[in-house]
Amino acid sequence: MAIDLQLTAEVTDFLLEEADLLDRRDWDSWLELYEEQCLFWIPAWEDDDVLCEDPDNEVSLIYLDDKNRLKDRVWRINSGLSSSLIRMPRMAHMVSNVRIKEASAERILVHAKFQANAYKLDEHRVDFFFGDYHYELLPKGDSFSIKTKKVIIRNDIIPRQLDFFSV
Amino acid sequence: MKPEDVKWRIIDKPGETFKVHRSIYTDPEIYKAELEEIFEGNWIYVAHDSQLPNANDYFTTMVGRQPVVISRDDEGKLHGFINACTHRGAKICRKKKGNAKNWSCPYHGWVFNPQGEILDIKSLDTANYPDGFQKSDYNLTPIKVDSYAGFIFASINTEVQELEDHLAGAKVFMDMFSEQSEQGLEILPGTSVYTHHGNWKMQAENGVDGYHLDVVHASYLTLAGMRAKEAAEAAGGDNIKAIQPQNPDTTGGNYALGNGHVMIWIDIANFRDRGLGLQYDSLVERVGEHRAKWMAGRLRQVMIYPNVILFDGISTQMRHWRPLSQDETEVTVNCIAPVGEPAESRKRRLRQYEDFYGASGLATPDDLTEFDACQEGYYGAKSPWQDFDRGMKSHQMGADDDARSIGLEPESSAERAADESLYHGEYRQWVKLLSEGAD
Amino acid sequence: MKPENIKWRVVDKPGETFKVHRSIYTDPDIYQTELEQIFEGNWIYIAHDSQLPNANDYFTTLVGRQPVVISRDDEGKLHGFINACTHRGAKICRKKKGNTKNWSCPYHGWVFNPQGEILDIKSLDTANYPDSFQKSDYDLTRIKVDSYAGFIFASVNTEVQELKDHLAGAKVFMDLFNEQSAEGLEILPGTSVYTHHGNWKMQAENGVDGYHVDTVHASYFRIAANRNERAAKEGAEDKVKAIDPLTEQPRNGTYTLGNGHQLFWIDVPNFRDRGLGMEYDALVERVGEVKAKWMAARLRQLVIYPNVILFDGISTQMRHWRPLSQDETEVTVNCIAPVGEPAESRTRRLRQYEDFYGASGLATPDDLTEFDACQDGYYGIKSAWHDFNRGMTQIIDGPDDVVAEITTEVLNSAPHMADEGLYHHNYRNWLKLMTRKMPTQQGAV
Repeated sequence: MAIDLQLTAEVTDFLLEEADLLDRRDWDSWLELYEEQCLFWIPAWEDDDVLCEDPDNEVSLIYLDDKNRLKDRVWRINSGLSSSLIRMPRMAHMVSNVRIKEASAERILVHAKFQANAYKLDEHRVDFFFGDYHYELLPKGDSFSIKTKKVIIRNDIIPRQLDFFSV
Repeated sequence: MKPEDVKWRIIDKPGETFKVHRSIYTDPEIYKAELEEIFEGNWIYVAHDSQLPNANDYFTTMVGRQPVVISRDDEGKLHGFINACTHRGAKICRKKKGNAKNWSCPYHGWVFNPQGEILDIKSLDTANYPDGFQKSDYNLTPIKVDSYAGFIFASINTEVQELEDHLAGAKVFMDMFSEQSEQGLEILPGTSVYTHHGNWKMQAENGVDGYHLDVVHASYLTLAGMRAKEAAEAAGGDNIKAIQPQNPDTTGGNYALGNGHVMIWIDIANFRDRGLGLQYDSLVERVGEHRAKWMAGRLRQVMIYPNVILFDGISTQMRHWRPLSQDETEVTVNCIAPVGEPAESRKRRLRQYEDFYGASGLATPDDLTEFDACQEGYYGAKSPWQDFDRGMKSHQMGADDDARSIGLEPESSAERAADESLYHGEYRQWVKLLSEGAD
Repeated sequence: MKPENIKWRVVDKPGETFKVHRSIYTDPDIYQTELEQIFEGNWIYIAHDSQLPNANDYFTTLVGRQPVVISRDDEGKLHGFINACTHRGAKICRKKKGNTKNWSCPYHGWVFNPQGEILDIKSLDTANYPDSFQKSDYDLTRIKVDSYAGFIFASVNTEVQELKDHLAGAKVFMDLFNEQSAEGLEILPGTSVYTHHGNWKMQAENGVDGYHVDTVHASYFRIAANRNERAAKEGAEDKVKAIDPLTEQPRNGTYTLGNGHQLFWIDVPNFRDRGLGMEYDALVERVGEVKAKWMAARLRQLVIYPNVILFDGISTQMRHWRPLSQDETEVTVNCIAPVGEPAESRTRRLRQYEDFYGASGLATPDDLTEFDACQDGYYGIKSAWHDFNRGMTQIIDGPDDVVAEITTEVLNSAPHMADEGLYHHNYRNWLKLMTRKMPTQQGAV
């Protein structure tokens, strides 16, 4: 397949924008990137090499199949009622290896790699997750919106916290 | 550690006060004694039947500090061994789980079977072993393994009492848990492991702590209420239907079940939104009204001392843990479900499970934050004592009416889930194990 | 640890030799005893007034291993508590600092006020506590807190002597530091924390070690000289104007001040380049010639035993530390400045601070490297003793002529800042603290 450099550049910029919004904790702008009927999904692992790909019969780490569920998590941060979210980690997301797997007028499928670094103030500790992003993007005006974001975490022992902003 | 170095840390004056000294959470000597006397001296939950269902399946894990492998033979019998080759000590079964008739050690090629017998010593013909050589001396080192209602336990201590005796009053609730389906239970694919700062005993306390619910999980409970309200207004949108238990400070109850096992229960208003609640009418038919109420209408969290909690309320979870140090704990969580439940119920169960439990859910992270905060607070050694006195005046030794109604003979009963008297049972067992050893 | 297991590690023969056994830096049992007898038995510097200025401000930190919270009440009075809920032990105040009238524990919802009193026990009406229950038994556990000249100290040993007595001869020099401005001092925003390999006692030694300055900090002084040269040659401005106390061999010395506190000083030739030196004439008018000279023209580094140094020379720094193990130390550094100083002086002070201090400056990293090298060396236990004999024959009992102008509360004086006689006081005090009988620890029943 010929590489569509223009589209790759636009998609990359969009993914970097999402990463930056998470790092800057601009949750409202982050939510705006998502479709109303969206899926934010982090599957669990079953074994060394077996990922749980059937979310209605197997466990996911996070499975949010509606934008309202994303809003729940943002609400929880803003509510001040969750002690785990009082001292938010300082995050820096790295996104790379962006590749268009499929593109049409209706949708664009994108694979990318990420490393999300967290400095946790309570524990004076650095943790990070790394792995893959699989996006289904819809063209929206001169940019995109997110229909599906599937995150495959490759180091899946969770050091206390894994939320939408941790990956 | 000498018994007198342990005993002073618990002040047990029935009717007056029950206190523990916070050094039990921070003292490295206590931690070492716990590994020896509790985690390597007592029964430890290791797995569920459904994780090694077939002949020659194996499952590896740790009991205390020791690597073990559990296997199932051709006749369905469980075996357990120290997972170390008798030749040079290399771990033999290396994956989390697998299926193999022969276990070949990747280091020097010795071969064992799932009954732990040595089948082959490579180049035995040129070995020139001493005259005392007996091949069978090189069988794998067995440990005790047994199961009850599908829950598999192991003990490094081969002199430990029988599992049924150890489980004591917990068996009533394990049966209740298992009977959700006539076909038994299964661990669903998808295991999550998380670590946290905080002594392992906080896991054993917090899982049966009704008093923290509305404070620590305020954001969760508020969200659940908001979702229900929105769904009612908009007719749709809430596909999770979060479970809303009643106030544990004033309702429900708790029991100390013997040998350190404890449980709390609280009624659930919207229990028909639960996976099992969706099947309520047929459940009543199968097990009767009273038992159905306990199984579907009543949140139960049963802690089987020292390392596992059976959650049946906000979805169904198996949570077990392993101490990494006096300050750090590793937790493994699984969603467990009735075999053959309808697709709609299974899906509901999964979404409710993910919503609340696990380090990626909306509730557990707040618990973990409190464990961290407690562990730091416990180092404030100038403020060393804490009591478990809430409910001291109203709890009773032996069974209350609710217990009798399900054939339970607990050590003690309390009339509110938030009462702290169940911890007396937990810490009496702790002192006993550390000062006298396991039965 | 029994006194006889400690005493042999310090050989103290006045006029002859003063030696310490290097196991004091590496032995875990010594470290454990230091935590109990010194860090949890003595006064420890924790914060400056300006870090919690308002009613209901709080500030959290550690004293030894113990989490504490310091608060200020409506009347400006300071309080201190073990930062652990009396119910289940959860840390109550979780942030470094904050302002709140009610402290609500996030675990089970118990509420306290900044005076440590319990205000609310959730669902007390259904608690069924035993008959002996007294709500006030659940107040937070109080620790000792006091301040002097704006510097706040705490002790988890409630039977410790009064802070003023503890500070002894250090008070005069704390006043000098504090009086830089008629409006007092303030910690400037921007805290840096660094960790290093090396026993904490090296912090207490090195901060008043005049002997290492030209060796360890050679690169710093060469850079300072080069900057001056270049500025002179090009007619350009040297914005940092590094303070250079070495080139003209000015007068210097050391003092021991009681209870382990020590000071070294050196006259600064280009003192008018310092933040306070830029205001020198006004300062003379306000505090008089003698004090002005001490305050602006004399570099002073004051160790308040065991955990803080007040630096006034190359900029102004508060440096305090906490041992993490016998081998590891955590250091917190702040730039402290006179309230209301002119913008130009403030900027100068900040640039000089960043230039020299902190793990990101041009000097401190070299100190930290030496701590690491010493700690490694101390494990060479076949070479077990080192002496503090430099300057042995020049030690003066009581104040010398220089310090006599401002105080008589000086144990010993020495005419060279490179002399090591001040460490005799340091380790005599260490031995005294380590071998004294402490009040019985609560809990060992």
